Amino acid sequence: MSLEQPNNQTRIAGYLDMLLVDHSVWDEKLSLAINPPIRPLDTVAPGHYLLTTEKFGSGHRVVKYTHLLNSLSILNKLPSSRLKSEVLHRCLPLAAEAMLCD
Amino acid sequence: MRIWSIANQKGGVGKTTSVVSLGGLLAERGARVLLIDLDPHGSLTSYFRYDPDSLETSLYDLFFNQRGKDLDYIRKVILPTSRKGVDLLPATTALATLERQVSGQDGMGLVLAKTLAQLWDDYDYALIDTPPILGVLLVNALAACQRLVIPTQTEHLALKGLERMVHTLKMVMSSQNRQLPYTIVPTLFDRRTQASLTTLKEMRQLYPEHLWQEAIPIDTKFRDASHEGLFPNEMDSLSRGVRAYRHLLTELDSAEELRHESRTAK
Repeated sequence: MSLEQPNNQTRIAGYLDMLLVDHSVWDEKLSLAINPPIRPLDTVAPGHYLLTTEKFGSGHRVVKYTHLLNSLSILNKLPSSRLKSEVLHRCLPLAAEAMLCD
Repeated sequence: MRIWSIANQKGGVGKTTSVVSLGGLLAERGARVLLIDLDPHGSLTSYFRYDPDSLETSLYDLFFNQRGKDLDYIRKVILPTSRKGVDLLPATTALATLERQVSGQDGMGLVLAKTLAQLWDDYDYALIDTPPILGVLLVNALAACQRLVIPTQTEHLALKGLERMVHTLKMVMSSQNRQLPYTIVPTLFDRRTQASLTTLKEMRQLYPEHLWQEAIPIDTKFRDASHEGLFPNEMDSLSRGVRAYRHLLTELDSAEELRHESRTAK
């Protein structure tokens, strides 16, 4: 059995990606995800809102719904955890809305 | 602020000479210039009579404890040069250990970019001298700059270093998801030698869009200026080498203007 060895190219690419990851961008995104700005149009139900702000994500609403469902599908495959349960629980209304979207 | 990195993954091609020459010419125009020494050899630092072995603080310190984001601290590290309006962010030989010190830490390639963001209003230009090897220091230079200048000695072996440099640049651009313009500058050109002529011809064939159409000639005045710790244009403002760098500076500035206009138009 042979394992695929990384070549120079992939080693350097991985090294560059590590050096160039910008935490401040991720911090900003995380902050938006945890505490997103609410706009009336995004509100689908009291206490629930879509992450369809200008700063978080992009594209048509249908694309965002697709991304949401894909993300939830990936999340669903992860081992059980409190965070996973919490996110799935909170996203349930949005997922239902996404599934009903044309 | 315009930020240019002067880099090539081969040594002895004229990186430090290019930084000092362009810096001196920018000062001549009245620009406020910061020269940055990212090379652990500290050639640029030594040029201005500072000792990379004994300086108390240097660029090295900015990589730790978020000091690269602390404007007061950064300003304390910066040193004056012999010319008013041109400052130096010096290297110490400790920079050679940086790779090991920051090994495995995410985002360490962006320290210089964040440092320069703090200094944005203090300078019109920042010119970065780089080490000739791919590592955290060179990556910092590439990530921080808006243009890469690649001095390339007009001799056959230098073409390999040039090829490697362009390849590294493309990988950094891919990682950062941005376009970084670059200009290849033939250096140490001696029209009397076949090697120089042949290599220049090859460069023109290989990199027609990125090659500066002139060349920096061999000029002993550069060595004389270095010996005196002066900018080459202070030593002899009409020497062949200085005149060539003056043309290069005009070319680089024009390219920047064009880029700025096209970005504004979008």
